[in-house]
Parts: sequence; structure tokens; C-alpha cells
Amino acid sequence: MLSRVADNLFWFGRYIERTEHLCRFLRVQYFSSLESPLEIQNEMALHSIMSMVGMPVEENHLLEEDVLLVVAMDESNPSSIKSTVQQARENARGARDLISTELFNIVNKFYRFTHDYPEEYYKTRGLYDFTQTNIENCAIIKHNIQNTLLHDEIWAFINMGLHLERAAQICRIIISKLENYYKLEEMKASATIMSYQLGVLLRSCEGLDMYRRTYKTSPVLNNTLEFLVLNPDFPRSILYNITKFQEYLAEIWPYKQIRKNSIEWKIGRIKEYLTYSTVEDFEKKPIEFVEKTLDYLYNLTNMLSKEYLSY
Amino acid sequence: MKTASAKDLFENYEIDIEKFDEVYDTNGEVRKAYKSIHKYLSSLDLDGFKRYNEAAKLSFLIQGITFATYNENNQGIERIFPFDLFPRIIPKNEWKHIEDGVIQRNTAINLFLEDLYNDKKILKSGLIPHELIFSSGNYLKQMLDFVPPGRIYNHISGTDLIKHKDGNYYVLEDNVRCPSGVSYVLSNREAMKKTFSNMYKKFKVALITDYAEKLFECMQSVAPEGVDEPVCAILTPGIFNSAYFEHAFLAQSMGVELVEGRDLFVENGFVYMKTVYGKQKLDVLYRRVDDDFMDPLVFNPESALGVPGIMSVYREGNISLINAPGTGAADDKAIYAYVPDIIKYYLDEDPILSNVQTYRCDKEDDCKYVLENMDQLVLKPVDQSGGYGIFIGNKATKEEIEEMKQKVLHDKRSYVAQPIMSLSVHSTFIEETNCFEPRHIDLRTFTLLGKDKSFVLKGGLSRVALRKGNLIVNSSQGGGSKDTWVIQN
Repeated sequence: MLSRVADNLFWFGRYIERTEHLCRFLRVQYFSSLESPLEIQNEMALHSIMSMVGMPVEENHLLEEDVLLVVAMDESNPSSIKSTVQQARENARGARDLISTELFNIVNKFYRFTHDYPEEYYKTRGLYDFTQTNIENCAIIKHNIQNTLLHDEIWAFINMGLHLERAAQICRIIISKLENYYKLEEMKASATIMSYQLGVLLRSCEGLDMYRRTYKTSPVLNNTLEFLVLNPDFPRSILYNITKFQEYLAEIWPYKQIRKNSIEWKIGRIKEYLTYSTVEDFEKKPIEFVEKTLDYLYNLTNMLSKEYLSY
Repeated sequence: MKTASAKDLFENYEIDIEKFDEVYDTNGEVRKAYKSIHKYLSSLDLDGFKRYNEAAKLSFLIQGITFATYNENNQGIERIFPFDLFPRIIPKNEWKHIEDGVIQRNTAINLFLEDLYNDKKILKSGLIPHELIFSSGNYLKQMLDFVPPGRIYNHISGTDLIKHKDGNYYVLEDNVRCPSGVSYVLSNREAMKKTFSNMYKKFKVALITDYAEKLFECMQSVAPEGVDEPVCAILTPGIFNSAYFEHAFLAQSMGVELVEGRDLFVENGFVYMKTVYGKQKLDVLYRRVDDDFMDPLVFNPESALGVPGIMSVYREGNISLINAPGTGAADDKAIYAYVPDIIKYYLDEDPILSNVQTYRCDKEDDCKYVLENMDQLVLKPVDQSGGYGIFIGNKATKEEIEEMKQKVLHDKRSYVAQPIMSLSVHSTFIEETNCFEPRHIDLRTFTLLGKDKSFVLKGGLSRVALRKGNLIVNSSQGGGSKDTWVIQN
């Protein structure tokens, strides 16, 4: 497979996953802020939405409509949902001779949906519809990736993109929501509000239901961190996604001799490190820990580009 | 189904007896081949038909069969190529004549190209003037004294035909460089099948699904000597090219790589692809990049679309290029006038398909005739394609005629003229009036030549000029297309 096309496939996977997370995050933050008892929670929600699209802002009073528009509809903002869908589609186009017609057509249909979505409707009534339909489209696309492609290196590159992006997005969501959590803690918010914040974090990762099944309690910090970072079976934990990334990487070159400091070696190191970590190892400074993990993931992307995707 | 009060979609259809109407005869009767399809379409009311029409359009949009136009803000607006739901029907016996004719014509053109770049017998015989060839910008000295693998130059040819009011087919032009449009033939068929499945199954329409297989066989047949299992690829300028859909479609249909120039490099006399596992040798390249952009070392040095050094690999016989560079020397519109002679010279046969009478402005008598009769002629620049630069005499003002005369006098070699041919018309749904109206059509056929094999796609692309009275059918000039059915008589 051509390196350029592998790059397209990898980024196609990343943009699909990024779109899904942006949509879910936007939806969860917006609707949870509607029932937040403290005014500051509303502000926090808007700030964390901006920070998720890589546009952190200093001023305190953000206008809700501006935030919701710039994050979803603004085509001049490369991080907006419309832009990420367009990027996903352009990368799929670059590899459209290799992927199935079914997969390309649904990606293209998805693009048409977001591209043609009426801004006025979105501003007044369409936020839920827009984000939810996008999430559903991402699910259909992933279904087509799993069920209409040969499970070969093409499929592996897309999946590597999906899982690396998911791990990175989970890191960013944790960082963003923990910052809010600690701010509320400083303000001596009630235990209910603190637990609600952790619930928002878990819902942003689509994990609240499975968290409850695992711990049978309302969200508390230690359990939430353990669940989102170290749970080996939850598909949205960092460890799970790093493990998957390692598996798909092995599909590319199964019998490759692993050299020290190669990407295969680095991914093996972090996987083993997380596997044998406990929440007690990072509970005192969780943000620092997740930030380091995120840096490590970015470094893995650079290594992948250098070793497999440069052309 | 139509309600009693519904407007008939053919209600305002005007039959012009000066033109050949594919659907109606001169008495206004529907021709035999069209009877059942006409009956079916007439049974639909406007809303019903429009629903089908919208569904077909949506299907093109979802498949991404679009081209982008850019506005001032550089925001691409995607449009589909207009597609008309009333198919063109060609009875099998008529098709046989076309098929034999285009194979004959393209076989002769292939022999002509080999001769032009090697022995030049036809020039020595005096049949074609030397200066006509050597003055052509498409004649490449880089191809001299070289014969490509399989002795094939024009592996893929797009021959454009029209049906005149005398009911006969004429060749309008030859395209043997990078003819495009075949993906629309295949996509149109899919859209028709989905939209009008009930009607489609009643006809025994000749299949076109074997095109990709035949193209792949053709590519393999001309692999470099000694390569048993050639690695084949399609070279595209990239995703922003207006024909990118076609490039990706063909690569996907054949299961070969779709490469860009930056994916390839030359090393030690071979061309390689840059893959995730390192380099991989490439043997046959169907390039959809023009000659001038193929190799910056020998052609346009500014080109970033091609592969530096690929021409030397080609001449060493280590890669096959489809079509061969330099084929443009044979589809120049000034050469067109000689194709009947070329057929006779190389094949010793009479042409099966006729040419349109062509006047060459570089010939004194012809030029005189052209200048005196401009209002009754079509003038075409010899080296342009896509319908650009065409002058239609009876549509031009006095000033425009005068301006054109000056152009011809200034550069006689660059123009040919033909009588204004009456392209046949076909019932076509017009959105502005919500009914069927006659519109001019032509037919692009696709011929494949491989080593010891030839193939013509059964049907081809019927292009339709959507603007009333317009004779130019090219998509770049507002044209659309129709599915083309070759059926049993």
C-alpha cells in the first residue's frame, strides 16, 4: 500500500473519531449545563467546549451562541465539526479506490448532511439533532469499516487512527473536566455537584452506564479515573485503546524485528506501564499524569508518520 | 401513474423535420425501438417523474460523482453532471456498424502512429504533408525510433460520433490522448437500473460491466517484456482534478493502485511506488496526466504531477505507459481530415464510418472557401478539446465573423472548418419547462486496443446539449448525458 494512502486512511480514522467525540462532548456539555445549579458551571461548560476544539479563551463571559456556532458550523475553523467531517471525507476520497463503495458512500452522505445543515435551525432547535445524527453516522461508518473491508493493512491503518484519536480525545476530556472539578472543589461545592461533574465527564466518554455496572456507586474521583484510564475492557479507556493500537500496528508488519526506540517498542512500553499501574500511582496529580500520556501519544503519531506514512 | 388531469410530459414536444429525431419519425410517430419506453414515460405524471429525477440526482451526489466549481471565497460548490432519465437506444445492427467502424479507425490510427514515429512511410509517400505533422505541438521527438510494448499507442480511444439528418453516423472527432467519460457510462447505467428497474428488465440491454476487466486485460497484455505478473496502477493528478472520480472508480474496479506523481520515483532504470513496506516496482501505468506534465526532465520542467525520469525508463522498455506519449499527433483536428486516407493506406479497406467534410485552412482552395462561407461553417481550433474555441457560423454576428476571419488569416494551420452538421435530437427532460423537449446529442464510444485484442464498450456515452438549439455537448460547456442502451432488434 502506498504511504500517502496509508496516511489518508490513518487520518480518515482519526477525523471520524474526532468528529464523534466533538459531537458527544458538545451535546453532553450543553445539555448538562442547562441543569447546572451554579452559574459558573455554565461558564465552565462553554470554556471546556472551546478548549476541546483547541481554542482556549481567556475572557470569562463567552456568548453561548458564538461558542456553539464556532465549534459546530464554522467552516473557516479547521477544528469545527463541519471541518472535521470534511477532512474525513477528503481523506476517504484520497483512498476511495481502496475502500468499499458502501463505506465511501456513507462517508460522502455524512459529509452532505453536515455540509448542508441549516445554520439557523441549528442555532434554535437543531443542536441535539445535529450532534446525535453525526454520532449515529460515525457509528454507521465504523460498522462499514468493520464489515465491508478486508481485514488487512488498509483496515488496520484506519483502526490505528480511530484508536489513537480516541485515546487522545479521552485524555483531553479528562484534563478539561478535571480542571473544572478542582475549581469547584476550591469553591467548596457540594458532594452532589462534584459527583454530577464526574457524571458529566463519564457521559462525555459514553461511560456512565458501564461505570455504574462496574462500581455500583455514584461517580467518585478515584473510581472514575481508574475506569477511564486503566480499565482493560471498557472500549473508551486509555489502556484499552493503546492495546488496540498495538494490535493493529502488529497487523501491518507481523514478523517485524522490534528495535529499541522504534514505534513498536514505544507502544509496548506504555501498554505494559499502564497495565501494571494502579490509580494510586497517579491519584495525587491526575492531570499531570494524563498530560504526560497525551504527550506520549502525540509522539507515537510522529513516529508512525516517520516510519510508515512519509512519502 | 398519471391522473386524468395531469399534464402530459410530452405535450409540448415539437418535431423539427429538418433534424433527425431519435425518438420520433418525421410523421410524429414514436420509432419502434422507443415505443415501450415512451409509453412508460408518458404514463408518469410530472410529480412522479420528478421524484425519480430527484432520486437519481441524489444517488449521484451520494456517490460523489460530482465536480467542484469555485467561487470568490474559494469555497467549492459541488455539482453533479446533469443526467437525463430518457435513455438513448441503439439497435444491435446499428451498433455492429459503429463497433466495426471504430475498431477499424483506431487500428489504423495506431499503425499511423507507429509509422509516424519510426519509418514515416506515409509521409514519404506524400499522402500526408510533412509540415502538417512537424508543425503539430503534439508530435513528440522523445518518441522517435521507439515502439511501445505490444506495438500499441492508443490503448484507449474515445471516438465521437454524431447522427446526421440523413440517418447515418459520422465521426466528429478522435480522442486518443486521455479520453474521459467512461465512468459516467457505468454510473448512468447504475442510476437507470435503480430508478427504472421495472422498465429496464423488459429490455435486453447489452451489458457494460465488463469494461474494467477488459481494460485490465489490455493493460496486462502490453506489460514490459519478461514481466509475467505486471504491477499496474493509474496515475491521477489528485483529488482536485475534475475527473478524479473516474480515476478512483477505474482503480477500484480493477483493484489496482491509484497513484499520484509524488508516490513514484525512478531508480536504476525502473519506476517504483513508495509503499508502507518500502519501494515496489511498477510495470504498467495508465496515466491520466497529459504528456506535457508526465516528466519534468523532458517536458514541462514546472510539472509536479509527473515522475522525473519516467520517459527514459519508458524508452528502456521497463515500464508501459497507457496511452503512449505523443498520440496527440494523430487526433489533431487537421489530421482528422486524412483519417479515411490513413485507413485505406494501412488497412487497404474503405472506411466503415464516414468523416464529416473538413476544410483545412492551410490549403489555399479550402481556405478561400472557408473565408467566403463562414456563416455556414463550424470552425474549430486544431489543438483544442472540450468544445473550447469552437465558432459556429450561423450563430455569429457580423463582427464575430470578421474577427474570426482575421484569426484564420493570421494562423491558417490552427483552424479547420466543417459544414454545420445537424446533430440528431433526443427527447430530454428540461427542468425549466417541466416537460420533454428535443435536444442535440452525440455519442462518445470507448475502444480498447491491447496486444492482439480489441474491445468496444457496448453503448458509450450519449452527451446532450441541454441549452435549446446548442450544438456543443461537452460537460465543460453545460452538457449532460444519457444512458445508452444497445438492444436486440
